[in-house]
Amino acid sequence: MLALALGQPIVLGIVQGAAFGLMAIGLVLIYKSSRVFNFAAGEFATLGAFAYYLSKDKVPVPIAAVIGVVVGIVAGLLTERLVVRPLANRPKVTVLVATAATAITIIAVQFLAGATGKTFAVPALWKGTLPFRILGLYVSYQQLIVLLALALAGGALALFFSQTDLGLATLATSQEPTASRLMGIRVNRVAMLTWGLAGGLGGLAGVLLSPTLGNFTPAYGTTDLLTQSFTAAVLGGMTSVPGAFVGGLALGLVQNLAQFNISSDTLPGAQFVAVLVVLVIVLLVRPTGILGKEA
Amino acid sequence: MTATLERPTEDEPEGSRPSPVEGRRFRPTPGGWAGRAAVPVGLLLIALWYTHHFSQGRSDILASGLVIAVGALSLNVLVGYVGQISLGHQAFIGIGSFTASYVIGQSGQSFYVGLLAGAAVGGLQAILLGLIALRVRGLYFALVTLSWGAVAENCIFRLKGFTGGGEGANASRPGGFITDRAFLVMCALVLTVVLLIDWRLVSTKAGRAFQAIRESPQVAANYGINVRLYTLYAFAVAGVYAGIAGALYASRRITVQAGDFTFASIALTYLIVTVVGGLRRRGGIVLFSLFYVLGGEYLPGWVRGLPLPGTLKANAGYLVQAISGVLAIVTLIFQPEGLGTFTAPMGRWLKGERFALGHGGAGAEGVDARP
Amino acid sequence: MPVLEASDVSIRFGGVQALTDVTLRVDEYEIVGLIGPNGAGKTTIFNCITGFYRPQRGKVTFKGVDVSDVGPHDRSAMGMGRTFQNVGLVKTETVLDNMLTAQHAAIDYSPLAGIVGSPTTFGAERRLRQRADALLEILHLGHLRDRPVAGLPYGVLKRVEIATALATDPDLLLLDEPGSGLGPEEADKLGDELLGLRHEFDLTIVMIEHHVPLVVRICDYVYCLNFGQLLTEGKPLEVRNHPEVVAAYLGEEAPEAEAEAERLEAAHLATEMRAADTGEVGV
Repeated sequence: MLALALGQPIVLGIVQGAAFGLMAIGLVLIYKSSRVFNFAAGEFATLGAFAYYLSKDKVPVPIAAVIGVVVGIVAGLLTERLVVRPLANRPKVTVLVATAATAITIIAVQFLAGATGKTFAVPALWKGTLPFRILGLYVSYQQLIVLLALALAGGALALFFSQTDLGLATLATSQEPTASRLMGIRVNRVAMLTWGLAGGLGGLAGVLLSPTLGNFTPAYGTTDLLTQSFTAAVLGGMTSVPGAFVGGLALGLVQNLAQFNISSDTLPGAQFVAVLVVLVIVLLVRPTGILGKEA
Repeated sequence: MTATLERPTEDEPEGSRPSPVEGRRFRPTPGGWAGRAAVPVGLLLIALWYTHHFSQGRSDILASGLVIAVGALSLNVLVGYVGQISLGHQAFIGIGSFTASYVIGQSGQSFYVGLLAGAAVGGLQAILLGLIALRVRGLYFALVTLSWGAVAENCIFRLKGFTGGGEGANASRPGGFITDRAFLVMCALVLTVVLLIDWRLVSTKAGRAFQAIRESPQVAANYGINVRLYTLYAFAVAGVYAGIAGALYASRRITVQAGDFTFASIALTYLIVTVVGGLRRRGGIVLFSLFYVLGGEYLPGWVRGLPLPGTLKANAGYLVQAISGVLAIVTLIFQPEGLGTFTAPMGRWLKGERFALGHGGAGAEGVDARP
Repeated sequence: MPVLEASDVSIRFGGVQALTDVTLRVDEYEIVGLIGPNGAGKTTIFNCITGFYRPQRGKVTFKGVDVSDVGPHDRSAMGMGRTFQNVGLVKTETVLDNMLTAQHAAIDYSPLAGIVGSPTTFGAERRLRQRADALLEILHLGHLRDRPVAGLPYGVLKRVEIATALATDPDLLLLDEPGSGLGPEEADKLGDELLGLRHEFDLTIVMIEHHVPLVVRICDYVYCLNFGQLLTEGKPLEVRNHPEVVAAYLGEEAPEAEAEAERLEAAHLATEMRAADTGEVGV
């Protein structure tokens, strides 16, 4: 019984946390390269999930998943080109408002297409569960895939930023935009790269997480992922890819432990309260995050 | 560097146009005054014709626009005046709404008591948030508001004792303002009071302090302004406006539910109305609030006549949201003053100046609070 | 009686000691000059005096009151008026609005009375305007009254800033490089003007200034800072001819240490405000 009481939130928390981590890495990438807070990120995930849902019956499921990720990438690139780049020299708060406006536009388009009030059932990439229990729970392959995706994405990006020229160039752009331009780094290309990557990560989070719950609702990336992913990124210091990775997992755990242990009769929406508490405490006590370096 | 201690006129920057002080010497002819007076009278007549000639529902649509206007003016205080972003305005509006309906519905007080209670509690929650804003600035604070909105939406508004849980809470309308037509008048009265307060706010001590703080807290402190106190003051004012908007919202709908106050339906919508209307542009904000609700009412009808896919026609009610979202992005990129570009010169003309587009004066920089 | 006394003020930013035991004393009706090479800590001591920085050691006394724990806005209200090196004005406001904003502490109605439109506020606002106009006339800025600050030339802004500092009704005026960007003749005129203002408003003035002739002409006393320490002090001519002062100014060609100090200081300020990466400034 005890194993179940703790096991369920832990397993679910880690899986959800992995999705938060994926999105948080995207937020961190964009913040690192252009100091922008991207409030459209949640809808990149929703669009990915919708693309997956719409193509699942027409093509094999893994290809549908790839389509979901590609749609996320396209959404990221379009946002960069149409919304963020024209505002390049404006205050970051302006850009933030513009990404929020992008989010509501995407949400409104979903409603226009008739998604209001519906839930969309999505299949797992790989059906079935592990043949043994972990913490008293059967763990599905889909849940493992989410974790694996986070580990792969986190690892690959960490390598990318420390080992490749383009990765180093991205970091240079974030720290010294003018100097980087003088040194021949194409700032626009770096921006496209980061927004594309972030969009793809968002799409991936949407494609992978929605099947673990069985379905998703319109705008779910914004309502269920955005606040949590941002908090995860802040927890990790906002500029650290490994930090976002760890922050995502930590937040998934916190949220699920709160949700499972506090009944909704006592305090409805306890998971959201937990996120707010974590966010405010981190910002007030340790603004550099758990893994962030001192500025 | 030009000589600055010479006789002043020599170092005028190039391309300078007549300053507004010269413009102010202009006095309209009696006919000019009559023309100016005709505009508000005409608008009032159109509104009366619109509401009396048609069903009660038309009044309700306009009333909902006026409620949005009050809520957007609240956001304008934060984003426009002190440069603090709020992405959790569903909390501001909803808390005012549920407080009012609690006071009216469950405690049996009058609408007016409910309105005051909504304003007070709205102000208090905003001050609490403001205390965090003193420590956490800029983009990070936007996250706190986002999270606060999510907590309000999923936790506070679902507390059974406060909001009636899923069933919702009731807030009856005041005597004499029961019908939709009469309640529109109530909304217009309240909006007028809020507009007057806002006008005095920006024309006096507090408003100037806000603008200095928005641009440079350091300069503000150097001018003798208590930055922390006035930041909190701005939050309190924004919270009070939002509480008022919430109370009106409750009585207009009569029953309110948690689902009425979501991130997309309130926080993002009001933000967009504020941006497209024009930050620090009261007239533009009120105007776009009305466009927003009228668009929501009439666009679907027009769209149904067009050769478009069926689902799009069936859900055309959301068209205004989509268009407004795009408009907001376009506004931010091309026209930071929003609709204020057109309403501000109108306003100056009505006050007896020459009509001239362009002179934005202070505050023409849109969201770009800090250079 | 000294109007201002800073005693043993020390402050460090990260690993850099920006000020070490700096002691200044400014008497009533004095004009005191503060000179020294770039990065010597002149603006830093201004920030300690006006309360934007809190020194780790030492204290600041203003008009006989220890103001070490008093915030910058209260020090302004107590009678410290200040200008900034890079122009501290609200750029989106007009000159007149800046003058009105700067009189904040002197406004006797409450902010609440302001927003409910209490009748007294209209009269008070009219008086603020009259005082602003009078000050602008004195500084020959009346014709710029309704111009937005953004877009005015740098030299004009420096003068507008002096006007706003006067609008805060100061007893002590702290000027950060009032003569920067001026030619010798204009600096001379500025000197006359400052002497006139001192007389008219009964001011005590501390000014950071690089124009040595201006300093020599109008200052009663001069402090020279170098590497965050007091190098020497005394009558203007004595200080100017002091061999170490001459050496310090000659040594200005190798200011790497100072540049580093300035960089660290900026970084410190940025982290303190936690707004470095949001493109904002805070207190």
